Amino acid sequence: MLTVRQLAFGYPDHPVGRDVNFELESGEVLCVLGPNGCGKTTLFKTVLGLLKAQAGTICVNDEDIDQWPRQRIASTMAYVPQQHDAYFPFTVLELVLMGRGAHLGLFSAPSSHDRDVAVQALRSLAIEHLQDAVYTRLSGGERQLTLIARALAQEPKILAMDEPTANLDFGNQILVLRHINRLARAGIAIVLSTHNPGHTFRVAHRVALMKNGRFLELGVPTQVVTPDALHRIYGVDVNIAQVTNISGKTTQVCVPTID
Amino acid sequence: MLLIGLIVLSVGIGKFDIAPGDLFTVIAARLSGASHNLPTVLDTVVFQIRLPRVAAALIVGAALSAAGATYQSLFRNPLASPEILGVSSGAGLGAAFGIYLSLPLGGVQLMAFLFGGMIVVAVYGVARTVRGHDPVLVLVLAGVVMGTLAGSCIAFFKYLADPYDQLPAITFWLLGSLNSIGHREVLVTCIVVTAGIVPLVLLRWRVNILSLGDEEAAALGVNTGNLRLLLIGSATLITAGAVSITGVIGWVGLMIPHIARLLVGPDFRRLLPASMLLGAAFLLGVDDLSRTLADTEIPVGILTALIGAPFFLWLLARSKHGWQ
Repeated sequence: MLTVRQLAFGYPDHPVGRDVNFELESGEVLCVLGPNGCGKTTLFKTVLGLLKAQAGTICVNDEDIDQWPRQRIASTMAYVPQQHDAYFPFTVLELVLMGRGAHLGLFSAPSSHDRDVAVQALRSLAIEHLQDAVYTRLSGGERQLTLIARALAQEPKILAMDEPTANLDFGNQILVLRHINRLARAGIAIVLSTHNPGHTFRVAHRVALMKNGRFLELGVPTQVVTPDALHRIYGVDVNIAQVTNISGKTTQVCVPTID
Repeated sequence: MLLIGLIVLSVGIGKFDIAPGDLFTVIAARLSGASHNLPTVLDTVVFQIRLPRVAAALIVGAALSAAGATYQSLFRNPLASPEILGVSSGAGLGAAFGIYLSLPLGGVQLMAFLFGGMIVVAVYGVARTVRGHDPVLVLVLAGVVMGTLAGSCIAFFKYLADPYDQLPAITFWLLGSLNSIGHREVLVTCIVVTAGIVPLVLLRWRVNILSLGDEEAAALGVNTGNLRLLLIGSATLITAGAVSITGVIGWVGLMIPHIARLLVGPDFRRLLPASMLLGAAFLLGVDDLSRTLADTEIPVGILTALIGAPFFLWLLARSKHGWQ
């Protein structure tokens, strides 16, 4: 579905990364793991067409998106930005409705159908009750879910999420991870960045290790996320242990050495 | 309803008070073509002076507020006002230049309109050449710089101007007034302002998306560059059309959209009409005060500042989370 080939990205006079290659199929979750400033956000913005690629191609279903109009890109790929302070006190429903912009004409306002799609997006994340709440007064977890709902209202085939679990409490992190798994099962291709290597074992089909704007490795989590690899990108000693969760499934956790 | 009451009151009051009953008789007589037995001076006052002035206050108040609401959404800045890209400074410069050249009133107004538009084109052009920064921030900074530059040029024309004749005219123009507005000005301004408001009404929902910021709006499928250009063009047309006949009237376009947002929320579909209604009523009310408070007329721009500045401080103290 999404094919990225030899992508170089960055800002004019300030290259950030190059030689990035990956493919993403529908229903697949790709997790990008890397230290602060390694170029994850810039990579996402480039894939979404918000920044011009400096070299290489980005194809959706074998079609280069370079010449696609903004609206066509937005109705195919949605972006969940890192949480931010909103400027205007829009309500949750108003904000989620803006996701419909990708499907509406220049002079149109949302119809009742668009409203239904927006409410459905809220319902699928179990935050329907927040629709009349003011976004700027929500908690971090509620804001994150609202931004995901807005992306879902775009009815995208591909979803790019920039650190969706950052700044969330433990419970909300797990809640968001659950939703990511569910959305992938519903057939959406998801690429997300994270700072928690442990999360990759729970949601990712494949992991890319990123440093200095390049993918060092790309593969299934159990092969890529190793003590050696984590030491290379973070400079931290980590033990990866097998544990069994309450429902009897085994999974991996990262145990860093602190003392 | 309140607005209609205010209009009736405004036509009635002034140097020459007219009772609402007489006012009604005069207007009914004019509409039906019949004659009335009141003094004919009433006709002159109502139709030549009061009605054009009331109409101008309504149009200019609505126009400045619509432009202010647009700029605030566009720049996501509580201090954004119709002056932010230098329209008013440019118009002031045009007017000062026109007065210095001893142009007739119409010429001065035309100069004000052209310079107001030109300075925004210049600001936009400068901002386009600066790459690699947030385009919105660059626009605002370029606007501030060009506005200051225009201010210096105005000072230069004041220095050159004839101190007995031209200088007071320039000063008075810069203070803003709804004086000296006739039928022709009202008609022209109405057309220009309407031409600017139509695109705003058509794009009313898109403005919401753009108010999230450039990158987010682009991710949501908005062609941000084109939309912003269209909105700036419309808001500039509206502002230039208004200030070229009244001079610089500050604070209306800054304060009214804030009040409107408190009342109806940030959705531009409701914010635009609410701002326009409030702005029309506000400027009409303030103009009534400017005509009646003292023996000589107080320039309306001074009164809007006297009311606007404390109000804005109050708003600042009251709001805890920026815009709420």
